[in-house]
Amino acid sequence: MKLLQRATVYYAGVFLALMVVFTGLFYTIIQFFFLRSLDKSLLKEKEKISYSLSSNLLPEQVMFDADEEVEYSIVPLSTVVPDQYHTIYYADEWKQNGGHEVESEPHRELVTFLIQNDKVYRITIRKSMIESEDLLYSILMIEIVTLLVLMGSFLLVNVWISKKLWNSFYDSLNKLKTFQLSGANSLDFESSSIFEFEELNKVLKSMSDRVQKDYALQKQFTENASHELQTPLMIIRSRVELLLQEPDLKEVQVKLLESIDNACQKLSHINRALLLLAKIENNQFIKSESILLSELIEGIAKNLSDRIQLKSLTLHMNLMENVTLNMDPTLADILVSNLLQNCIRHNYNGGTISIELKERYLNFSNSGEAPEIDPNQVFHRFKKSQKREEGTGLGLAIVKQICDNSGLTIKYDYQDTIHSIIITW
Amino acid sequence: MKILIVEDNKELSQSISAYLQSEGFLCEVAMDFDTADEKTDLYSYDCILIDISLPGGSGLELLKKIKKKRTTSGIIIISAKGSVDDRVQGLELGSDDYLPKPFHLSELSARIKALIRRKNFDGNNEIRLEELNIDPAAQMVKVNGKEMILTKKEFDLLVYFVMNKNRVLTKNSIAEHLWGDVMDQADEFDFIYTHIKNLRKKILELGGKDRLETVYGMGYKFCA
Repeated sequence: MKLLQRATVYYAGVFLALMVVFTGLFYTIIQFFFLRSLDKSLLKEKEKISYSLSSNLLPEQVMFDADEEVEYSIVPLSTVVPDQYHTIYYADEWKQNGGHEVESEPHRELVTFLIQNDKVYRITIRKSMIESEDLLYSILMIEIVTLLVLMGSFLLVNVWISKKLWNSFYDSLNKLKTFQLSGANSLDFESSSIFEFEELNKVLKSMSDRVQKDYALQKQFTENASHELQTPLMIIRSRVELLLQEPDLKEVQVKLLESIDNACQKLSHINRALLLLAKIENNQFIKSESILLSELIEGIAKNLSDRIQLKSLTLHMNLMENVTLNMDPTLADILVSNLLQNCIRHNYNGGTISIELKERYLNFSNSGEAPEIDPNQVFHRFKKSQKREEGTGLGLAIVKQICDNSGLTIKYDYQDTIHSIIITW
Repeated sequence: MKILIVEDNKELSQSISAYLQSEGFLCEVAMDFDTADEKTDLYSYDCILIDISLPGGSGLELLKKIKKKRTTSGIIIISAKGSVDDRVQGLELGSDDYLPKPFHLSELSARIKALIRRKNFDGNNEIRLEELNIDPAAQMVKVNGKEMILTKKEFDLLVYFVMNKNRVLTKNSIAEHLWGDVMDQADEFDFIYTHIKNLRKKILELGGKDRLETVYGMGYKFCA
């Protein structure tokens, strides 16, 4: 969930809870004042009745409002209690007389006792609360609507402000997302007027600069190391070659020389492969030419045809004409050549190789034993099966690096004794 | 045949000159830019080997200077950089060949001989060796006057042997000569064995002598 969404959800939740609490509180308070004013007006009626009684008028002769009712009876003195107020629900008599069912309505009732001419009058005065109740609900509705509108506008304003505030943060985030370690560009953030974001940008910049520098140094180290190794390697190898030309060498000596020579050869292969990898990583192959793939593949297959024959492999080629790919020609050559060599190497005698080329799709597949290494690590450097110690373990790493640099997608698959390497773009 | 080796590494230049001398070349060594410049001013060579990184200047600069002197020397660039740019630049500046380090001395020797042949005979020459007649330009081989049909790799292999006759060629050097800088050496030795077997069979069929000798399983020698 995005920060903004989460904040909005929290705000809305808290708002709703507060609204429920405050609406309840509001309701109670308003009702309290309403009842007080009702009770006051009932008390006034009582005074009116008391006055009329003192003028020898009976209570029913007093003028009342339409929503008021008065009942009285003469009771013994012993039943007299102080004034009592109640809220009761019942249907008005005058409405009941209408003949149809009427819902009972809330009324406020005052039961009081008046003494006049030694008679005790028990007087009940009722006043309908329907109007004040209606008023109360209207007030509540207005309150709720006002609060909702307020809340809505607050949330909108909050979203707007947050967006404005977090703008530079998202800006930095987007820059980080597109940041490439191997790229030449360092991270440059737009300056933010917000202190925290400015700090964050500064820290990110110094960190990324350092990482980028380290990465460049490491790449350079690989390149330099491979470089510097070439000459000593060449010296060892040339000395071995000179020694080999000596007459009367014994078999033991030749075997020793052979193992030195093989180790040299392997070192030299690894060295060249690492150097090549470093160069590809450094984007030193930057030519972009439109390469006719079918032609390239056929050429390389022809070049490797003796190996294919010697291993009695059957090569099926299903190449769509006129499929082109824009990339560096040297890299394209290495790519196809490594893939085909891979198909030959990890095959058994009499096996099959098939190359399929379609639009935006190239598949090299070959028969072979089940992979010993984790299929996800096929493209990792120095990952190779234990049985094949001769390999450098860099062939497919180079293939992967070329694909990464040329914007191609590569994946490996093994199914029913067939290894497939599929490139799409 | 005089050869100038321009290489700043003492041990390497020693190895190269020792190997080439045993092949019958006269070798001189220049360890820096100025010595090389001076030597090329004073003497003429059939072939000059130039290392690109030199004390006192770049090998490519030296190449330019030599080319200005209108020499007929063949020039081979040897470089530890192995970069495509160096190769292209070197060839554009007029070097005849380019060999990335580390190379095999037998490969270097074969290239020098091929280069000198090309320079001297414009490539239209046959290599004669006892009963063998090899025409590199037409890629044709005759054994006792009869044409021998070879595959491209078998032909390359035979020429490589003839160029390095009476020398022990390691399997590694043969593999690199035939297939270039392949990434792994897994099956190569089997392939070499098969190629040599076929080549030997074809020569014998046409009445040639079996000159391919195995050296304790490490390499092969073409005896003449």
